[in-house]
Amino acid sequence: MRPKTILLVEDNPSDVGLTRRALERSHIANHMIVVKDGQEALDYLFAATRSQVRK
Amino acid sequence: MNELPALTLLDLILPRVVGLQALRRIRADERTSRLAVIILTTPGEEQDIAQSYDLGTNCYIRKPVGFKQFAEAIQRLGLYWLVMNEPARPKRGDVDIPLAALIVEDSENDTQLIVHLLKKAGYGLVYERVETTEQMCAALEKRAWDIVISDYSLPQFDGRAALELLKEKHLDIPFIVVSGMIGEERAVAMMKAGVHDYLMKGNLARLAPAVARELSQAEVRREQKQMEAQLRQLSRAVEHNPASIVITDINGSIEYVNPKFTAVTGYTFDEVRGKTPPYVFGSEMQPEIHTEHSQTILSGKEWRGEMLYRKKSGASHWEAVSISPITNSKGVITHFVAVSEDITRP
Repeated sequence: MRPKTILLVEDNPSDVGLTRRALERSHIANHMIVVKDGQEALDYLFAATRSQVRK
Repeated sequence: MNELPALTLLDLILPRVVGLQALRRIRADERTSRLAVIILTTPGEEQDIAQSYDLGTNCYIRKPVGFKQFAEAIQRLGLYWLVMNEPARPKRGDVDIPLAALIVEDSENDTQLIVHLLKKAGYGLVYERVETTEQMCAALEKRAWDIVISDYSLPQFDGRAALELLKEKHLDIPFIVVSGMIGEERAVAMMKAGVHDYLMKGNLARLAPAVARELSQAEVRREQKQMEAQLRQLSRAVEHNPASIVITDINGSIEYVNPKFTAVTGYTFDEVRGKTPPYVFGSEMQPEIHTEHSQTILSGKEWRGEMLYRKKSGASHWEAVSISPITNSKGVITHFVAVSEDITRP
């Protein structure tokens, strides 16, 4: 089974770094996708729901 | 192809669509309404926290996101299975959390006990035992250490001196004293000198938890330092910027100008502090442009355009200006920052 994805919506690069490290230290090896704003996040999520329906 | 995330970590303050708005829309759509969402906040956003719960966040984490907060949130949400499905979880005997421990100890037996306890707790341990100042200096030169575990008194060295050595070298490494009976008074004196914890050799059950706690606290300190360093870098970038930078409050009173602005306009900071840009260095904008410009920035967007700057000497020149609002943690505009460059052709 493929590891599940984590979506991080964060525009501050240093917070992205800290979050990534917190995840690593929690032994979480999931794929993390970073988007920089709410619109990008919504675009990503709704595109994902569409591609799921097609499967 | 986009994959629907198992977990979304959503910052509240974002450009364009802000966190709460994004959350509202995620919850409003039936296809995404059940996604696990954790809100990331900065201290002082209590109101937003209440609102994000109203909008259906599962949980929130205060930034900076540390290991502990994240682990707690995962536990609270029961998300273990969701995100740990590619387990890096330690198996017995596997190399686990790497830990470099410098052990200041003259007894090989006591050292082995400490090593044993740390390995049993799941640390992938690298260690070195030192018992003199010289050895400790050499060890500190050799590599970075995550923790120092020190006996209180050794034949040629002691815990106090070991701690002083770290301070001299400006090393912020957690320092735990493991010793026989030293008495309360001495223990207190050690803590005051900067020892992070004190354990007795007869009772080392607390060793692994103490190490874990000190490591996470050291990480918090490190993160803080990193952020301070970043802040210093940013302020230097502003100070030494080749563009003029002016920061005003919401009413347009100047709170900051960078040296480039001073050089270009001939006004010192004291001369313009508290003044309003158009009246000081005189932009001659058409009234309709001025209205459009105010509307744009007050709506939270960036405004770009050209303005005629009038210098103190009376001469004027055109600058390409970008004005953007600065918002506080609640998303309310508090300041404006104008960055501009001289575009007059010589």
